[in-house]
Formats: sequence, C-alpha cells, structure tokens
Amino acid sequence: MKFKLTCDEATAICSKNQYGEASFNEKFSMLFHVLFCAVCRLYSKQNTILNKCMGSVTKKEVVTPKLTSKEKEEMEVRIKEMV
Amino acid sequence: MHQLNPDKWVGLYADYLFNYTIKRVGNHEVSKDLIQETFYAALKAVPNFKGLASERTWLISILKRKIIDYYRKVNSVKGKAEIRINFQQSGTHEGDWIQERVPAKWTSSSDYNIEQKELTDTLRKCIGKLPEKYAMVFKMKTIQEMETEDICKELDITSSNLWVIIHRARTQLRACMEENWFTK
Repeated sequence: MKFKLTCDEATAICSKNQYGEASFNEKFSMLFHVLFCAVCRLYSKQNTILNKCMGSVTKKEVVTPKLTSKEKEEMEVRIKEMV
Repeated sequence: MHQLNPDKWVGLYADYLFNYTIKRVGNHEVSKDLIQETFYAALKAVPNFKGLASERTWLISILKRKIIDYYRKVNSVKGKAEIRINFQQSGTHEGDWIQERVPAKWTSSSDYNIEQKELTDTLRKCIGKLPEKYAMVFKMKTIQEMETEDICKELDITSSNLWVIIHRARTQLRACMEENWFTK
C-alpha cells in the first residue's frame, strides 16, 4: 500500500470516492494526506459540493432528445439507395 | 433462424439504437451519424449474417464497434482540445498543485442552492466545455450512472484509465465552476 500520496493522487482518489468506488486503503491514504494538506482538504470539500450540484443535472438530463421523423425518413432513403 | 429485413430497420430499430447511442456520446448529430454508419456497415455485412442472433442484437454489436471507433478517434485528437494541467508533471515536485491552479475559497459556497436553475445551467455549460474524450466517460459515469466495468468494456479502456479521465474531468469542472459561479 502506498502511504505517501502526491496531491494529484490524493485528489484522484477523492474523485473516485465520489462514486463510492475507492478502496479502504485508498481512502485511508487520502485521509492521511488531507490531514496535512489544506489545499486538498479544500478540494475535497468542493468536490463534494459539486457532486450535490451534479445530482440536479442528472435528473433533468435523463429526458433524451429523439430522432425526428424527418431524420428517420432521410435514413430510410439512404438505405434504399444502397440496397 | 433469424432473417434480415433492411427495409424495416429504421422503423424498427432507429429509436432503440439512437437511445443507446445518445446515452454514450451525448450528441444528437454524432449519434445520428453513428447509426447511419451502423446501417451502412450492416448492409455490407448482410451476406455474412448467419442468423444466429436476432437482427437487433446483431445491429447493436455493429453499433458498439462504431462507438469504440468513435471514442478512439476523439481520444487521438491532441492539441487544443486538451484539458488544462493542474499538477506538476515531472521533477521533484511531481504531483504537487501548480501554484496558479490551486483551488480558491468559494465565496458563495455557503449559500449555494442546488435547486437553483442558474447553478445547474452553469454546471451544464462547464460540462459542455470538457473535451469530448473526457466528457464521454464523465457523462457515462456521472449522468448515466453506468457501472465502471461496463464503461470499460464498451469503450475498451482499463479502469485506471477511466479514473484518470474522471479525475481530470472533475478537476477541470471544479475550476470552471469556481471561475463562473462560486467566486462570482
């Protein structure tokens, strides 16, 4: 297990942790880093805030735009041309 | 044995294929083109169709290949579309924050309201600014909430690959939100 992390590595684990997929060892090393690193501590806090904001984007974005009937007609024409 | 009816493809599968694609590439025009290409490739491959899979499964397998090709293409585009570097890339300080990229304290973070329409719009704009290779993986993971393993399989990348991309995307997003929202 890697004990001393760089800021790059610590913040990477922080992002992974936002999806609940950081391992126990990763979380431990990250917390240890954050204990002594104010910048990454701030980053970590902001990352969590961002995650909450993302939630509201997620719900609205689920409605996906559809192909229009005109676009489908064009596709059909192109396929017929090839056959 | 399954049969192929190219005349009916658009009517039967266009919506299904489009839904599948837009969730992964996030762009209407690109999705449409990928489906069109899938139909072309399928037409050419009609003589090789053995009838073992259903028409829909067969088309999806061709589409999946097209999506991987597309991802590889955007992934190989270097230059302007790159993300800003936030950490030292080499030397004794490798992995440290680059001075001018250090996160700032967010002035309005205490009274942010996640239901606020403007905040959501700003976030969406920031996501829109991500280079496509990052945006695709980020959206699949965060917005479509797909499993890591599935994304890796579908884009033919490793999980450490995926997490590096997510890390860079989120760091970029954070900086963008800081500039456009939280310190305004």
